[in-house]
Amino acid sequence: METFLLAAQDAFTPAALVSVFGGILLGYIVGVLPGLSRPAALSVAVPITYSMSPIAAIAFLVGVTKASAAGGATSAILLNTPGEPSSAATCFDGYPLARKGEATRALKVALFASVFGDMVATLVLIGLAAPLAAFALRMGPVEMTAVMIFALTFIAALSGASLPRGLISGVLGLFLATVGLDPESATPRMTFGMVELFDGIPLTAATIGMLAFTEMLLQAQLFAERRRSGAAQAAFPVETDKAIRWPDIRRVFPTTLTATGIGIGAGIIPGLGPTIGAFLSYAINKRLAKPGDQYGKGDLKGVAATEAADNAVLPASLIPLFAIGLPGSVSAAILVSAFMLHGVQPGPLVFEQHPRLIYGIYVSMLIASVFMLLVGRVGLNLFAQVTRVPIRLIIPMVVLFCVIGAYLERDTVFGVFAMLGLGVLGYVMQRYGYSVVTFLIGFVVGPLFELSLRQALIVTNHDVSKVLDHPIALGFLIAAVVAGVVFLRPSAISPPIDD
Amino acid sequence: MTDPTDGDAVRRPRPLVRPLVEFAIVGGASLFVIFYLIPNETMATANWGLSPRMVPTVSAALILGLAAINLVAGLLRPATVAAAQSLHGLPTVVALILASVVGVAVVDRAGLIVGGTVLSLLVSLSIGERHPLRLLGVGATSLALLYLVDWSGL
Repeated sequence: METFLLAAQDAFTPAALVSVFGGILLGYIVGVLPGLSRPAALSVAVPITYSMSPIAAIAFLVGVTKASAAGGATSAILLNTPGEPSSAATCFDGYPLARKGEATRALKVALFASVFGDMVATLVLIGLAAPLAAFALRMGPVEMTAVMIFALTFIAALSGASLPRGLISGVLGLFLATVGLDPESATPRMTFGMVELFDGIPLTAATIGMLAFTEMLLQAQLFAERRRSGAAQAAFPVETDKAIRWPDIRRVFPTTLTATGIGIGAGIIPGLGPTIGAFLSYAINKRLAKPGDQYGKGDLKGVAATEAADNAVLPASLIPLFAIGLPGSVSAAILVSAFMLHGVQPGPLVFEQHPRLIYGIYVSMLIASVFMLLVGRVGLNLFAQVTRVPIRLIIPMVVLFCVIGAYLERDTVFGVFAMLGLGVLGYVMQRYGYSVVTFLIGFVVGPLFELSLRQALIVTNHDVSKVLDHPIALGFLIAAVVAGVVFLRPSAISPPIDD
Repeated sequence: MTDPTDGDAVRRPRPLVRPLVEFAIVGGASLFVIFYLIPNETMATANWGLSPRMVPTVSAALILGLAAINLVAGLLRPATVAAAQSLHGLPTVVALILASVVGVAVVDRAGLIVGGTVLSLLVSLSIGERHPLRLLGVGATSLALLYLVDWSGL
């Protein structure tokens, strides 16, 4: 207890508080701007912390990471342009809410859900790091494959009105995710001799192209139609209601809670990360929707489902890092370098060797959550002014954001051309009833699924019956079968509506 | 983002030729991938389960199968179709795509700051913006934003 109090004292020193606040501000900017990814910002920020004390340094980096996750929702909701790939799923309901004149309500729910998910995951980290890390250690390739198969079954749940087209979109995403170097043999696959394709189709380019650029093409078409018919040209209707009331909280809270649990799970299991966590949470919560819920058409629950999960991942990904030295996400892996820079080796011994520092980081993380709420709440009114900008200005600026985002990911125009190509593909898919949502799930889950599957085949020596030796994997496979049966039952499949 | 598959449809009789054309495009593309693209662009190994071709081939075959199911469903089920989507505004979409491609080509040649500014101006022009002051505003804002990105070092 004495160590904890001393650690709390460290966390409340002006230097540590300023570091957290600075990290939160930087993280918010990184999150709002598409293409400035969280790992890239962390990598740039690590050298800045050279001269800081260990606790101030880690607090600064934690602030960057947390706020970038929360900030990513802002552009997703207002411009349909995810600031981070993990915010892509927030577009599905956030942007329709903004289009309905509920941008501020969507931003508020995104902020509150983010802070809630983050804070609960931090408390779980503080209380349950050791036992949960033991669970993470049991997640081998066979278990990961089973988790991925379980995640892929949700493609069926999100297929929309036409199940075959939804599945085709999902499998197309899976297929395009295989472009690049083979994960096992490192031989090129469908790269056409282009070195730029060796790393595959860039994820940021795919999410920005499929969501933001596609949306700008649709908006441009609508803009031209309206201009032709002489209709009003406002991008967003005037907001008449900006408040979040008690019935809204009561309605959204269970979804936030479920999403936080899913985010924590995705953080603890190394490799899943925030993007898969957010998509998975959206899919599961949409499947659990009650009558009256309007997922995909602008529902506050959809925003809470993705944001709570996204923000719960980082604190949870520190659980295996602190307990066994295994980072649960890319951001956590970069934090390892920061720890080592300041003479701390994450792992089982860290609680014995540096208890004051670890407890100090815990307290700093909670402080960061509070700062995140304050900065987000103040900035929210400013960000919401975007809804007043006319569409003729929004389209060129969002296209520019798309280009910047795709360019910065790899610093070449290849990613930008990929973004444009996928944007056009997304436009055609939307026009003919092929779900972009399921495409992105397949694309995001694809690489990890393939890698895990092939590792699992090696581990089991191609003997499927050896799955019986992996109870966790068996559990997920049974859950996948049950989910598949539920999703594919005749009443769940609507009659096809062709375009 | 709205998912059009969830939208309400204005119903009218469904032409039978549409599912056939859709199958011809999706199925044809799958066959092209299975029999031409993958064999020519991906190395094969003796062990099928660990082959780099395994997941792409299975994916393409699945798409082919699903396209066939979609065709059968389209031909047999008493479905109705959404009203033909408006072609109005399509020239603007094409103009926007072309403006973006040209803008990105300028980014490639002249760098992100100059190219990005040109891109935003071309996009504005492609959607019909002709007001000089507004064009100036878009250009100046883009330039300032791009300088900020460049200055930040990210």
